[in-house]
Amino acid sequence: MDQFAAYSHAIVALAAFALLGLAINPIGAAMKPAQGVTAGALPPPDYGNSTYRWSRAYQNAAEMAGLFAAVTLAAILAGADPFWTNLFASVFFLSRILVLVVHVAGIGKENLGARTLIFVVGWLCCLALGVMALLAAF
Amino acid sequence: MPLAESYGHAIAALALWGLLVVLLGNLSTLGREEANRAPCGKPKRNYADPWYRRERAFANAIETSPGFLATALAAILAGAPPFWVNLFAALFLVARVAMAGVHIYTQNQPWRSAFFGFGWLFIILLGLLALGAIFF
Repeated sequence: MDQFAAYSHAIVALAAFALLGLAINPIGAAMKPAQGVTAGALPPPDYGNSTYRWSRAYQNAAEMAGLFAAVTLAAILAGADPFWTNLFASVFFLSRILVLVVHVAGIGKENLGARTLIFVVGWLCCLALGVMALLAAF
Repeated sequence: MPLAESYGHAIAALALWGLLVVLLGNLSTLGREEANRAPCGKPKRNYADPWYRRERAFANAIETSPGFLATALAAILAGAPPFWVNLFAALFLVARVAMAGVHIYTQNQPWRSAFFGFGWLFIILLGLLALGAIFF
C-alpha cells in the first residue's frame, strides 16, 4: 500500500527483527542436546556457558518482539512522523544486532555491562515509538 | 491519516500495550535473588514471592501479545466497524492493566483469572470482527 511507503525503513526493521529471531532460535536449540538439555528446556544459568547465552539471546529477542511490533505498527498506523518512526525502528534493530553479538560473545558483565547498556538503547526506542504513536493518534 | 481517524483508540491501545509490556519487563527484574532461582534461571514457583509474580505478569503479557496484535491489526486492516474495534481494543487494555495490578500486588487467583478471561474474550471478539469484515 502506497500510504505506508514513507515507513519503509520501519517496516524493514520489523521484518529484519523477525528474521533475526528466526536465525537465533535454531542455533541455540542445536547446542542444547550436547549439554543434556531437553528440547524446550532452558540451560542452567551460567553466563560462562555459550549454550546458556545463545538461549538467553533468543529468549530476550522473543520477549522484545511483541512490544516492538505493537509500538512500531501503532506508530505507522497512527501516521506518526515517518522520519522519527523509521529512525527509532532502525536504531532498535541495530541495537538488537549489537545485543546479540555482545550476548553470544559473552562481552562484559552479565548485568549492568555492555549488554545492558545496548539493551537500554533499544528499550528507549520502543518507548519513543509508543509515545509518538499516542501523540499521533490523539 | 484516515486509519488513525477511525481507529485512533485501537491504535492507541496497541501503543499503550507495548508500553505496558516495556514497564512489566522492567519490573520483572526487581527483587531477583539467587536463593529463589530455579535451575533454568527463572524464579521458583512461589506466588508468595513478589519477584515470581512480577516475572509471571511479564511472561503472561509476552504470551498474550501475538494474539492481541494479530486480531487488532487484522480488524483494523480488514476495515471492521471502528466503534467496536476501538471499544474491544480499549477494554482489552483496561482488563490487562487490571490483571497486571492484581498479579503483581496480590495473590488473588480468582480476580487474576477473571481479568485474564476478559482480555481473552476481547481478543476473540476482535478476531471475529476481522473475520466478519472480510467474509460477510
